[in-house]
Amino acid sequence: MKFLSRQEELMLLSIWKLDDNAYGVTIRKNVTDLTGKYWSIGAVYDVLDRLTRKGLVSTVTGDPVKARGGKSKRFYRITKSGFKALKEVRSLQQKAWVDLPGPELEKKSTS
Amino acid sequence: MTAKKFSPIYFALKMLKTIASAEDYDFAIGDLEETYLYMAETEGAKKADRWFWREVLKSLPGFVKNGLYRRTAMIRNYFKIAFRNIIRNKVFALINIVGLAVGMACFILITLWIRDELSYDKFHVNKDNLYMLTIIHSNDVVDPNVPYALAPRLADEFPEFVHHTRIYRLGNLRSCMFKSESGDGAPVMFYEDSIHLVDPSFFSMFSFPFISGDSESALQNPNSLVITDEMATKYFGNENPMGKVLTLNNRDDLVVSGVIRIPPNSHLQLDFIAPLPDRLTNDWNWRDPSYVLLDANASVAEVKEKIAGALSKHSPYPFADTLKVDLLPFTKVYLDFGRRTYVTIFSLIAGFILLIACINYMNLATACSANRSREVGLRKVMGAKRLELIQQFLGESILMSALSLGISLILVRMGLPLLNSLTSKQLTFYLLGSHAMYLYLFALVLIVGLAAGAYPAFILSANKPADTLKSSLLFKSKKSSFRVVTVVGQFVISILLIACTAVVFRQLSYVQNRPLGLDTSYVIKVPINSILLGSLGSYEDMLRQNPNILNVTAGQSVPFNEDYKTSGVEWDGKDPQLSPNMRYSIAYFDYIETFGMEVVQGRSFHRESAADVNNFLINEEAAKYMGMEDPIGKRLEFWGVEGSIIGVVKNYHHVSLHREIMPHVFSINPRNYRSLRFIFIKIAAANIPETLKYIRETTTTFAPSYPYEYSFLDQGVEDLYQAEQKLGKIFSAFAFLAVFISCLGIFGLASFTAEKRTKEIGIRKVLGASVSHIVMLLSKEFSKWILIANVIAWPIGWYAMHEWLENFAYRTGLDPLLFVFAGLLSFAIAALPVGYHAIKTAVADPIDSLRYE
Repeated sequence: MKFLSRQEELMLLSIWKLDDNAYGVTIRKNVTDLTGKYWSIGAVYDVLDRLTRKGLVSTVTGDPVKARGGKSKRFYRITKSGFKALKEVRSLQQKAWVDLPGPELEKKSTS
Repeated sequence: MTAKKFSPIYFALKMLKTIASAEDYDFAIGDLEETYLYMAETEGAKKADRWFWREVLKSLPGFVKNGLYRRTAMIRNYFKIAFRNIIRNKVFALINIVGLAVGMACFILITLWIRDELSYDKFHVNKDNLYMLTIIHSNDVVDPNVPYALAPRLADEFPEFVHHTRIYRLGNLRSCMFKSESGDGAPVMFYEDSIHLVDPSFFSMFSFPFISGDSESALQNPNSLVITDEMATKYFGNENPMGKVLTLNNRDDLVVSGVIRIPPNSHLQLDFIAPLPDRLTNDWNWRDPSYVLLDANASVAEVKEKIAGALSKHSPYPFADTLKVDLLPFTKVYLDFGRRTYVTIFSLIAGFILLIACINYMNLATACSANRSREVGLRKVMGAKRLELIQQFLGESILMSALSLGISLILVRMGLPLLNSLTSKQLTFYLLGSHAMYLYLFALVLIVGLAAGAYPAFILSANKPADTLKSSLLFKSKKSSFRVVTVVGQFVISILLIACTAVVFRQLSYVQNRPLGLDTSYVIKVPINSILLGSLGSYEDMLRQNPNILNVTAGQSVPFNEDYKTSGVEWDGKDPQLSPNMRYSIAYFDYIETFGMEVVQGRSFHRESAADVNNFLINEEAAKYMGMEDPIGKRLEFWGVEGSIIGVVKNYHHVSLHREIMPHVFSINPRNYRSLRFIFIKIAAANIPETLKYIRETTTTFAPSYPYEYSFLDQGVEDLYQAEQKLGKIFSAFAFLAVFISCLGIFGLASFTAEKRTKEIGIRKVLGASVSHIVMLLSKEFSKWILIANVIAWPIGWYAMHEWLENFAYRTGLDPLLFVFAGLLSFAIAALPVGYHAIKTAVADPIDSLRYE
């Protein structure tokens, strides 16, 4: 199985964290805050669409909201395989970091 | 709270909503709006605006791409289904494609022809300001020939006339011969009749391209001569013709000062052009075409008003009051004098053929709608909107028409040489390099596709899903009154075309077989020249010494196409207000006898009677016209020569049968002998080669410095009606194709109905129905349709043909049998496919037919 990309991982974690309030605007805000980089709406949906296609998240369409020009929100929720994929990358990461000094050490040695 | 109305952002949002297919990115746009409003509140409108545009720019390509992908997904499905349908119904698809392809090919060919007809005279730079001077007679007849003095007088009087030119058709008036002695061998010489004298501004008005020389200097010298490239090759081969001498009638040396090329789509086809001497400026009698170039800023209506009365003002003749001078736009001259009818007829045929092909498609598509109703039902259940289904079916018909176009282009390529040989045109069809052609073909595909597909799309998409899906076995055979109308319509057109073709051919053969009232068989025509003219008597005597030469005479033109009109005739008791409009023959002794014309009253010209050179013969029509019960011995004045009428000639056709026999005067006065252009020699049917040899030897002995040419008059009669013959052939070819296409449609419909009733017929057979009974049953409906079509087509055809025949002064009657014949033929044509299917189904084993499905 292919592993999650970093962006996908980030997105999934945001959705997890936002729990019941995970939709385009909040997810984007969360990722922007987290990375400190500019995320366009399109970029966010690009990843979200991919996750949906892979079946890692499920979507629920909410009621139309007036503040959104009469558009509804699409809420995201992590599926079982989504959690599984998250766990996988996490354990992979941990395994890969075993026996290595932490990132702080590396920083010291180069400076 | 939403974005401000009518701000750019508001519109941008609207636009995004339409581009991004609604359900797909709804929430994304919602996000955009929500974030925008939030930002506008927290961080200020300016920053929010900037952010908004940045988002729009970034996300737009994605939206468009995704939208396209989704849309093409459906289109790809449409294509797949369309091709599957073609493959499943091979016969129907073939009928549709062949019908449309043949129809389109005919349409394209006819448009090419029409385009060429309409392109006549459009290549002149001044085309919009060029006019032909015409005279409108009191009976509304438009005369293209105007007096010589008119154009110069008008030009003097009105500053609006920038240039003017008259075209003096010298070759029509005198026998003309050109000789070139520039080569090493024997002199090259030919008789020519397309010799024209023009005013010096001719080339400033018309833009015929010069190959050598230039329009400025070409007509400057009185002895200059401009020739066409064809004539240059004829007389000088590959040598440079510029500055070479061509001798006219062994007398006038003309120097070639220019070589022009006259495009085939010019109604002026002038082989030789020479400057016109000034002496005709005061001639109000002699008439030829005149053209003028108006000032671009002049108001044509005003000019017309000013010149309308010019003839009554200037012309010395009292009758000129009844004549109105008018201007005819130069680009309309070609169409207005004879071609407009043909262009209209062929446009109609082109439209009809395309219509028939479209009707085929409509009928077959709606007939098969039952087969596709389940597809439509399923699509609807899956959420297809009606508009989408209409789009699908229209797309299918456009696809069909595009496929047909491909085939029709091949057909056009094959048919073009045929059309060219029939029309004596050089039409070309190039796909590449012509945007207009692409556009035209694209429009053709679109129009045909929409015309053919609109009705089926409407019908097919109307299926109710519940009905169609409920029971697969039970589909009601809806009586489609529309289909009846279209099939009947097709047959109406077919019957019309068959009947019209029959009438056209009948009229043509009538024209060719109608006794002209004169005998042209075994008469040969030899161009005259000044030497023969000078020694006409002795030349004639010499010829007559041969026993096989039965008669000899001379004339100004062939007797069956002698279109010379005059008003210079006076007689006792003539109404002084009357402007006589009579034809005349400048003839020689034995004119009447050579052509076997009949003298019904009085006598013919006699050599023995010296006074006869001043006397006249008239035809019956003239006697009636002059109101003379007994014209013999009455005084007549013709071009100032006074004499008496000595005889009345029985009417004969002196012009083509399009036109009526007019009053006609015959004169043999030697004063006018220089107008004689041909010697006519009646020979015996025996020993023709020897007689011809004798004539040649005699003629060349008399006039060794002139060429010798001869032709049989019968050939001339044929040539006169050749154009009509060719048009008749083209007409019948297209009529045949139209009938063929509608036949294809009937074939398709017949096979469809037969197929649909397979089971019914099986059961009928099991219950004991005979084959003939079943054939009857299946053909009954079609017979009814054809009957109705006949009832509609006959009166229309009768009316149309009646109108067409009005063009001919002498015409065959409209035989009702022709229409019966057309009806029977249409019946037979329809019976073939219908009968084929009826018999095929009827003789089929009921076991097979009942097992069907």
